[in-house]
Amino acid sequence: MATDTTLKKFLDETGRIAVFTGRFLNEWFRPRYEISEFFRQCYIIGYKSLPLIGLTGFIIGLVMTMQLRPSMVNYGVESQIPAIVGISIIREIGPIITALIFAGKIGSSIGAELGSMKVTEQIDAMEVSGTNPFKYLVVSRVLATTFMLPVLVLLSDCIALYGSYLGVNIKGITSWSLFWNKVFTNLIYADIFPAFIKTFFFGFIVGIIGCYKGYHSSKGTEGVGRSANSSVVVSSVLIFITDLLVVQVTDLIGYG
Amino acid sequence: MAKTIFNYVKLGIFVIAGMAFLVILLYYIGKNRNIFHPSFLLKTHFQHIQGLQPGNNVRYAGIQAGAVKSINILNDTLIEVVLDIDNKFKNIIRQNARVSIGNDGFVGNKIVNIEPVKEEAALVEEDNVLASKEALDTDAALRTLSGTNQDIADIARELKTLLTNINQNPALVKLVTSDEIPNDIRAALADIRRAAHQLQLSAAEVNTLLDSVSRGKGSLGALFQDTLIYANLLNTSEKIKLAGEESNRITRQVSQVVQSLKDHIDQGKGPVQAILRDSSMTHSLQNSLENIEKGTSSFNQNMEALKTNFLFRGYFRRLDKKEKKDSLRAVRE
Amino acid sequence: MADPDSNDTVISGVAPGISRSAPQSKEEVIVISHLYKSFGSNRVLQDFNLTLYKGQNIVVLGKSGSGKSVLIKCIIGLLRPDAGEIFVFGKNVPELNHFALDELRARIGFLFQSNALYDSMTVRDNLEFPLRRHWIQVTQAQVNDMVMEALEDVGLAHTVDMMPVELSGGMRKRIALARTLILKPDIILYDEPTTGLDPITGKEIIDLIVEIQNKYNTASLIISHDMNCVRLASDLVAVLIEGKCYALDTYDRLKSSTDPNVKPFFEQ
Ligand SMILES: Nc1ncnc2c1ncn2[C@@H]1O[C@H](COP(=O)(O)OP(=O)(O)OP(=O)(O)O)[C@@H](O)[C@H]1O
Ligand SMILES: [Mg+2]
Repeated sequence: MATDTTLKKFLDETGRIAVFTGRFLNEWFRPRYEISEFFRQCYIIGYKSLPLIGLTGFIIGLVMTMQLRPSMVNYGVESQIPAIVGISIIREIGPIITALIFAGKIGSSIGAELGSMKVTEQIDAMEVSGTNPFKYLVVSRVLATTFMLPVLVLLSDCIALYGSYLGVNIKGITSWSLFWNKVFTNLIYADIFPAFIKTFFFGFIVGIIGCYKGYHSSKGTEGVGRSANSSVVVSSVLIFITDLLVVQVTDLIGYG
Repeated sequence: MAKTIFNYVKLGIFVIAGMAFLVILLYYIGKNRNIFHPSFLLKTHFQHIQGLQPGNNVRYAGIQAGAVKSINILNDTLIEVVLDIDNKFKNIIRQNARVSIGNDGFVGNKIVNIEPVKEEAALVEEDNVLASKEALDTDAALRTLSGTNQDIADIARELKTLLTNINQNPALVKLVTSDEIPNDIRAALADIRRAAHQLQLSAAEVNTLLDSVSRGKGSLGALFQDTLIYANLLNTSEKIKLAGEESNRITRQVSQVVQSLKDHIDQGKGPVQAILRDSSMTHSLQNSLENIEKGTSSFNQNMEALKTNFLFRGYFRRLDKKEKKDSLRAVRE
Repeated sequence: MADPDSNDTVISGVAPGISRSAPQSKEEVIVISHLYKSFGSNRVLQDFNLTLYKGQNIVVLGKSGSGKSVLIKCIIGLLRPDAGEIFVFGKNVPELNHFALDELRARIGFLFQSNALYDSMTVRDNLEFPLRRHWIQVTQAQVNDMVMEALEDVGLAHTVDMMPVELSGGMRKRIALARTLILKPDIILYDEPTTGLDPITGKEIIDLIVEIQNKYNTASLIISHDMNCVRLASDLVAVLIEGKCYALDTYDRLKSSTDPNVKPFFEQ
């Protein structure tokens, strides 16, 4: 009985998210375009997240390198560290870590912001003021997350590789150009494209889930907290599922 | 509207920085894969490509030179590998360069190595097929090599016999120096002597080759891996081929001369009879001529056998093609 | 500011004894007929009828949870009624598309019960918001003038660069009122304009409402429990009971009513 209602709730929620996503897909390209709001959100969502995401990226690159070193030395392939770190950061670690941090920071803030706007009738007030709140709030944010996350991932990749460069040089000497040369020569386009394209999906997920949770926030401050919380949880899980799907699909079309 | 003051400049820098990294990434990968350089194609054939993939690096003498463009199966035993080579290597790689598949380091990707050969050869051109150097099946290689050895030895022997037959027959010597023999026959015989000398020199080289082959037999791998010996082998075989061509021509001439001399002897009169005058000499000449005939046909058989040998197969095929081309051109002109 | 005199003028201006059978020359701005709205099994509005004329103030009375807010949200198109018609300036709101609805909303001011100030924006940006959204072709100088004028109307010109959190509850209500009035709407829907205010500020707000009505000849629908407000601002009082417009009459007449459903509202 309990599982029955849980399942029902889950399916109900899935259906609502699907409808919400459908509404987004139906509305985002139609006028009126909230361009300046879109740029403002890009600034808040993208630029303002850079310090946090840069920091985590840097640490990941550094730590990965230091953790890999002992076993690489054992196998006598110490010189391959840049190649291995490069491939794993570009293909997987960079996108997924950045997306999760992004979900934590942006997903929750969107959920809470829209949730409290909903609860205090600010969304209604916008509608009364001749604004389509869905476009003004949801479309601008979802587009901003969709386009800013890939940029953040690229920068985070770059910073993570810099961290790895420092990590390599803690216990050995690898010149700047040799390091990058090793990273680049072991990469192929098939490493970049799936990794780059999936970041758009990750960004979209964070945006759409955060907005959905906020936009359908139940009344009261508790509802706002729940919106923020569940938008992080749901978008993180969806990011992992999407990642799995992307791997399957790229494997299938022989890109792996 | 909202009070969060935002800065288009900062946003712009942020986005441009991200895109710049993407562009750099794509550019350097493309550079390694020869996407932004003018390049040309070379081909090579392998029986087994050991897991090589399109996109793998191509190195010339260890220098990054391009990438594998595509891999096509030509038939059940032959795989064509198309290499995309940076244009700046066009003035460096020669047609006799050898291609092999190797590993980039211990755990690295497969790579294609193009190694220069010490001998002179023309520079490569677009779509040239370079010879590949495959890791050979040792047993098969040994068999083929000893077969080759046998063929070469046989040829050398035949050549020697042929020459001995010609040089040691006093009747023949006498005929050649006599004024009474028709001019054409005399000229032909002189030609044979000149060529015979050349063949002798070739025979000496065949011996040297046999030496080096038998020395290399102990460690076959070393023989094939050592480009110097390999180059010698190829070089010598080329000379054998030249000698072979020459001897083909000579044997044809010899047959002609032998035929006309036989005719003279059969008629029992004419200049030949007049010069020899002695029936025992005529008899010995007849014997000689028969031996020579046998020798030429046996020599030809050995040449045919050699043609089918893998070491020289390519050479003869090329020769055939060239002949066809030449004759075609002759017909056109 | 608003004294009994001005109040009297208002009432006399509307002609005493105005009722549903008011002179037909009066322009109807809102006509609600047979309005039904329910949330699940919770029937909020059932066959609600009301007509608002130009220059008229109607105060809607009703118990908490009786559906007053739902009623005015239906009028502005935030909620979609289950059945019935709501004509605003002759257009049936539930049937309007987005564009027509936005056009109509530019002529209606709406004061939310919870103020609904945008708390991520300054007071100025809050006031500019409806201006910019409705009138895209307005110049910055005009916008500034209108913002200052609206703030001066509510006596809060000094708060222009403050954030809503920095303001007291009463100040927020007045900013919300300024935002409602900035477009000089033809109809204003007030949802409890005086709730949560001290009597003095409440009185000021009521005076402001009355003054606005005099100045621009607007029509207003005011939801209020505040008898002061009902008395001072109303031309007519509508009593919402069980989803219906149970009674519609002047304050004085309803106050003296003996109806057991109406009487409790006027006993304080
Ligand atoms: N969005 C909604 N979803 C479900 N039920 C609602 C919704 N809005 C209002 N209701 C219900 O409609 C009824 C009327 O609510 P409304 O807000 O109109 O009351 P009200 O008359 O304004 O009361 P108050 O004077 O306390 O503001 C309430 O029972 C409420 O539970
Ligand atoms: Mg209410």
